[in-house]
Amino acid sequence: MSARISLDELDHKIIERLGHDARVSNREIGREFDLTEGTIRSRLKRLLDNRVIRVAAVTNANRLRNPILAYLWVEADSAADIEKVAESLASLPEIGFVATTLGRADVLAMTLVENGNELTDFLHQTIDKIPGVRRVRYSLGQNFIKHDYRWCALVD
Amino acid sequence: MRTATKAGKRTRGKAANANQGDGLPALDDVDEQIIAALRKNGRIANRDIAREMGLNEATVRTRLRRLEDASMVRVVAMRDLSAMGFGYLAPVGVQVKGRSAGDVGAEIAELERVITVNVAIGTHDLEIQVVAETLEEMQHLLTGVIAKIDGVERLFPSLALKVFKYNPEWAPL
Repeated sequence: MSARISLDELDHKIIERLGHDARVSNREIGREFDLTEGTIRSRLKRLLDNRVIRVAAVTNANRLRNPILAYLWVEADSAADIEKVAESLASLPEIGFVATTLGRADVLAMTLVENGNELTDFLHQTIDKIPGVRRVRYSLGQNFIKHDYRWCALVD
Repeated sequence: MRTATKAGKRTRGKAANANQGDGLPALDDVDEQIIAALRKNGRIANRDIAREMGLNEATVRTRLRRLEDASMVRVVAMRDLSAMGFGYLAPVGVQVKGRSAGDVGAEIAELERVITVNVAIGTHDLEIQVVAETLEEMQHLLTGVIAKIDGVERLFPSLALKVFKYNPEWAPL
């Protein structure tokens, strides 16, 4: 995970402001906070360079016909395979979240699918073929009550 | 949560049908390319997107505004969990009793430290993700706060050891 840098009140204000709309110009943020454009620009550069935030487009999941967030709880063949399995899963573009975990499984991966067939295909064609995967259990998140897309992990 | 190209293809392939029911405007190739550019770098100037795509800046500006106004796309700052001090991330299954999963989920969703809540099909009624700055805080949230919400019967927690990837590209907007 990224190295910690200390954040002051202004950093938090900038992050909060960009959490709503990150297309706003540095000049506009500067005007709102009564600061110069240069101050905002250098602060923002520091936040981006230190991987505190990432600015990117998020697409509305409602565009998908029936979005289902599939939680794949993966068990590895052996403890020594866990890290490799996690790396293989993370390299798949369809998967948005991967972590090694304590508790319910060795690795948790998440992917967004539109129906059961798509999930079945993905499990059989892609996941089952990853070396070191022993077993996959899954739960299907159907109704997004809350999904705070402003969180992420900026890993290399 | 899919990549730009793949999501683009999927959406595009279904656009004709999908738009009849849900009233969302169709995306064409130009929209998809603008979104792809903004997925790579959300701060890229309209001018630079225009140059890469061989369009003029006004076209990009108009297109993007239309996408944002229709809530199809939002460009936002995503905060790294650990850089913001949240060293602990727990994906937790919740078993509900005596109350609807939706109601219990809505109450859990009010907690700031809970970043996702899904009504689930499977072993548990809800799948949630909880973040905390310390293990002590995580313990308090799980045992002292969430466990005491009316309708929460049992919690099935796990704890992320190492996050390899967490990159939301799709979200309800």
